[in-house]
Amino acid sequence: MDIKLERIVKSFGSATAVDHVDLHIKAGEFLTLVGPSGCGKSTLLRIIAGLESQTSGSVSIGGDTVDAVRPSERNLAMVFQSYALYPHLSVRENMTVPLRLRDLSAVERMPLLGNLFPSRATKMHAIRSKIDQAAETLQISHLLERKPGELSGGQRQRVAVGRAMVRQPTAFLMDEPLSNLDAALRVHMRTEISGLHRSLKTTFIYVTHDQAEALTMSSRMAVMMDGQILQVDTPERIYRNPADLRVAQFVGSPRMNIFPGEVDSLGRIQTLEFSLDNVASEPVQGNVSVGFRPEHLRIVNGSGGHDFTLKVTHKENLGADYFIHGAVADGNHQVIVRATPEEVTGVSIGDELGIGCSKPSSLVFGDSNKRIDLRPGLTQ
Amino acid sequence: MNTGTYSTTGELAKHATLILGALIVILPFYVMVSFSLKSPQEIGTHAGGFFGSQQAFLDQYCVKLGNPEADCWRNPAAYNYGNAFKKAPLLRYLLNGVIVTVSIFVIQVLIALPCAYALAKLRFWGRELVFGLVLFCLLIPVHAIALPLYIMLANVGLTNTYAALVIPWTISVFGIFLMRQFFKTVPDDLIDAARMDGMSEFGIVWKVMLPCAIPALMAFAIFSVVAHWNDYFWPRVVLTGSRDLYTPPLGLREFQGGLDGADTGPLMATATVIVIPLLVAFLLAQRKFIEGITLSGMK
Repeated sequence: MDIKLERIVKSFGSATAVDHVDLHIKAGEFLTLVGPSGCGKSTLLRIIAGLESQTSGSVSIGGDTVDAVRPSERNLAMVFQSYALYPHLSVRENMTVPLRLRDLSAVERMPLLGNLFPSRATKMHAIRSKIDQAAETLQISHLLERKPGELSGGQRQRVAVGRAMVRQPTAFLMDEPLSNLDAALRVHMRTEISGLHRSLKTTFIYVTHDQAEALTMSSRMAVMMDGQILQVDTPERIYRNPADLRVAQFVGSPRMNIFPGEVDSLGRIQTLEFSLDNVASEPVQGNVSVGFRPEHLRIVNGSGGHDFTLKVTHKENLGADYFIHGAVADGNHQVIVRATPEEVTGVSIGDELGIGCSKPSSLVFGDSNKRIDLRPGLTQ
Repeated sequence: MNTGTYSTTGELAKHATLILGALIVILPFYVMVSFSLKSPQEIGTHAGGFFGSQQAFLDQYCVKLGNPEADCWRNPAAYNYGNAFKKAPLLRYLLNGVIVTVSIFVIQVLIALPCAYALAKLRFWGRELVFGLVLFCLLIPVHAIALPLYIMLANVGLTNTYAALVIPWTISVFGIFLMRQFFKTVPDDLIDAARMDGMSEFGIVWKVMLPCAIPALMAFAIFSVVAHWNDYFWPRVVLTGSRDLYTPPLGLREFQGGLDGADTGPLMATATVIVIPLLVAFLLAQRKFIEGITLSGMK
């Protein structure tokens, strides 16, 4: 079932957390809402869940508007950052709660009295087998009788996913579920959650501030900033083809290098000490920002052939790669260049390096951060 | 290497002060228990140490009633505790105490928990004002409103009933305040998870917040039960007639004329009997305190 958000606005007093968001989440996709903290992504997720009511706009699930429907009746399941397991209940009881409340009637849930209803036993049996099955999928069968306090972070995480799974919801809503895990476990859980999505084939809506999680896991990602969705697309296209300067800077680690540039009347773009081969396809004269990802810059040995020079301030060793941090000769711009270990042998802090740019990979952004399309320059 | 350099004299001074403080607190209890075991002569002459000699003594009152002296020899401890239960219907008073304190505590919890939940976790217009009023009510001394309360109860004809002993205490602003502060520490995610699971707001209060708040509830229980078990003032105000409703502290009044003579022993025995249920309850609660469910499953 598709989930559609139309013109969603949420304000807290005078502050606007979500600002006219339209989003169409297709059935079965893994959509990530990604953005810096305070961008409104969690609020948007809570509006989908029904935990927060929007100021205006509407949410529909499978074509039905659910604005007046209680959270539990939207048939969505949520996994929280803090896992939010009931501390006084065992793992099995934690996973039983949503099913008991959904499948058993109020009288059947009553202590003692409920036992008089034969239907209760059949239902409880069905619930039990669902939990056993989910526990097996998540490999937590041996933890079912423990309390959350006796589990490690990763195990609690699985239990929280299990509690969401047993309901067989229309969609899973995940609010930064990996943030409380240590780095190694986080990377591991990324592949597990992706695998879970592949096997369940259910819609996942996943909120994170970590662009790496968004890039690695999602089928589509929506980049949010200041309450607005700036771009929704596949991770590849978001990375290669960002529509907005803020998207370009947020996605990718280390950050994209941004240089100030200028477009002349013929559309030629000049930045630092060099000009790009391509020209702007629209008549946009004036100041622009020119972006190069670290992998689109390279060290050029010897004199000549480089586009600008930089003074090395820091060498960052990642094993397979090095990131060279430096300042452009004019002293105003920090630059990060990706290099292979071979290229950086003999480079030390304080050196002057010639840097060449892969000009066709450059991304140019005009006023109001909008991307400017380039076309091959006919007149060089 | 001695990194934590505690000076020995400083430590000694600290411990001496603490021991002195502990003695001052314990001494009245020591005297109470000791007197409850001794004969009137031993009490009068401060003889016999803590337990007294436990030698039979001659009950003068028994002799005055015209009984032969041989029948009037009594064991001090048995005499004191026997009289505590004989002279006043102490069991009845203890039962009254249990009925009143338990009723008060149960109703206080029934009212305070939903209130505290609303004040801590729900967003509604005027919440801060309401909480301000709660804090304001904490400042009002009971004795200031005792007379109006008594008049109100008298007008509806409730004096000399259990209701008169219970109703004025059912809304505990202290309980609301204490539980609200504790509920503030319960993560919002947990409540949202319960809502996603389909729990009603009252369901959340009783099935999620209450189990999380056991340690705070225990602290409140001790406060509430001790205060109302030991309360002398309010029962004295509203119980004007029948002694059937007397709570344990009022039972001590039975011996008020006897402080000088043979009644000191039974008086102290009564006081000891009244204190014991509290001690037992506290020891049980203390265990629960330590076992108390923590929120460690949350973070």
